[in-house]
Amino acid sequence: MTQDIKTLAKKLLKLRLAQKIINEYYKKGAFRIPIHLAMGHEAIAVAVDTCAQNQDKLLLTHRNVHYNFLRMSSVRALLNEYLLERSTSQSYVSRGSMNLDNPLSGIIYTSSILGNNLAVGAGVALAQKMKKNNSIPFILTGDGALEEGSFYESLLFLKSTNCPAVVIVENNGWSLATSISERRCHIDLSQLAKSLSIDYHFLDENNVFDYVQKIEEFRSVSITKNSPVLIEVKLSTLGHWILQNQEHINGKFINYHAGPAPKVEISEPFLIEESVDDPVFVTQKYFQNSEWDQLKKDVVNEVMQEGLM
Amino acid sequence: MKYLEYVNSKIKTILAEAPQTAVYGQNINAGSCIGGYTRGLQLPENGLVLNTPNSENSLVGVGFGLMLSGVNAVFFMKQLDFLLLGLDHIVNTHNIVRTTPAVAAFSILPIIVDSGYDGPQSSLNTLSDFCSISSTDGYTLTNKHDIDFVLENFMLSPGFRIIGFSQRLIKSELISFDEKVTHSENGSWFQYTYGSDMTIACFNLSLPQGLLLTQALKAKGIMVSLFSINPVLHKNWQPLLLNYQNSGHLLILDDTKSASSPSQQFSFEAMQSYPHGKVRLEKRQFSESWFVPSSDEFNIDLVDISHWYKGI
Repeated sequence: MTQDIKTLAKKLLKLRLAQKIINEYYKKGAFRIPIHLAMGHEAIAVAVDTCAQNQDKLLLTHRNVHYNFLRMSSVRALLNEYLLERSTSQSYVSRGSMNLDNPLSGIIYTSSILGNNLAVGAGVALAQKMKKNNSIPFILTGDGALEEGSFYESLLFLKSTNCPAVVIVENNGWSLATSISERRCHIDLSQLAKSLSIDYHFLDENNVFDYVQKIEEFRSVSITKNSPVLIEVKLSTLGHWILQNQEHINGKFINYHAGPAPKVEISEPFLIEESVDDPVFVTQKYFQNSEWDQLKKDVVNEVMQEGLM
Repeated sequence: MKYLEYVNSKIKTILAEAPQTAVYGQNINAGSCIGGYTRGLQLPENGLVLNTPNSENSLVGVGFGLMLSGVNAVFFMKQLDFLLLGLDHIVNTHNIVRTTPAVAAFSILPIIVDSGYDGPQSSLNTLSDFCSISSTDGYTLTNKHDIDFVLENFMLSPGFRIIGFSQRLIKSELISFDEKVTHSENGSWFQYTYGSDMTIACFNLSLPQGLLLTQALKAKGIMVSLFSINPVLHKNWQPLLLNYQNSGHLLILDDTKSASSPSQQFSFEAMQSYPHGKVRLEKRQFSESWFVPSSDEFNIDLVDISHWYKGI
């Protein structure tokens, strides 16, 4: 593993805290732009950020806060982007949230159009192969984009041109307010990948240390075999709430999609759920209480130095 | 030399010395090589000629990915209507990519189905619709001079554009002019003849009709200034408007089947710029025949035009 477990855990904690701070700003109505928080997505984001090498590129979706923050590592810088008061960003122009990229730090392209970044990523993969620089794109997408033709087309192109690429599906089971079962039949990604002779891997349970080892391995295999790999990551986007009113006396589950998460409080700066759905909960188990408390304290201090807590 | 042969030869010459470039498309290096347009392509060692799967949407995205990575991309497409599948990228991806300085080229080179024998697919013969929806530069090439200028200057220059060829002209003799051809810096217009009696402005792929008319009018003693106009973003129509103000007669030819075309805007601007002159727009009128195979000629009535000129 290229980074020790404390470093990885700190990254993960800081990413969670950053999102909770943004959520507080959101609750107060600070933003004019739509933001899709990714609380619950931290483990895979930290793993990708850690495993991506210098020349590797990231291609993101509308839900990109986790990857962008890890490359900025400054809550203030991210807030400035979202407040459209740019001062520290490395992007060339203001992109708001859904198209936020950072070419100088490897986030070469971000699109809010479902499935759009897969094809652009395929082009980046071909360019990197032509340049023979031993690097690959990490192309992030979600379960909603599996339903787009461009998902299939892009895998087909990558395989047909023998281009290495790591395609990661963050499967949170929802597209806007509809769950997978409410909108479509089951898609067996492993079978789809098999039909194209593409290696498929399934990750779940939000173990960042395990994810780092595996993503490193998948990246390496992709380059060695000159072939894309497809990784499905099962996760939950945290921040749901139960709507109770006269229409829903017993309560209605509201999935978090975008905007503020009203029930997520910053009074607890890190943990949201005591379950495997929360990468913070999973990571905590690897540390003694005192070590964990120190890590949290260090992260809070770093953010306080930015004048944000 | 035929139009097709010249285009193929020009493309081959430019690509043979191209800095790192990926040239791709369906059958570009196999079978008919897109009717011969891409036959015999060879690139320098760091370049690539790639036959692709039939995935037009993604292939447009691939071009932007190559461009973002500093590799030139040239995507040959057998029919313009295939590009409908890539509209998301030519609008949305382009809108993102264009906000940063371009370091490489992405050019899409479709054949515009401007002959009627493809039936329903021939009903889409208008490059400017694609350029309008995506605020993109476009060029419709009909003759030696615009082929030379546009391909030499824009096919591999940083940024995105669409360069369309005529299916109808494939087997025709290449149109070439003896007089010096002038043009705007960005290729928004070309001028081929310099008469003072009438200004003819040709949109889309109607230059051949404009040329025939110019020659026929010359035989009747009416000397024409003949232009072609491309749907580029930063258009400069002033020289054409001045020419019209001098001639007093502006005939606009437009073979597009689109309900909305830049020729209508040009017509309006011309009438505003010189209300005392005569402006006439010859444009196709909607017909159910567009959706069935036919010769689908865009014919201009010489007698009618002569009468209009003489005020009869």
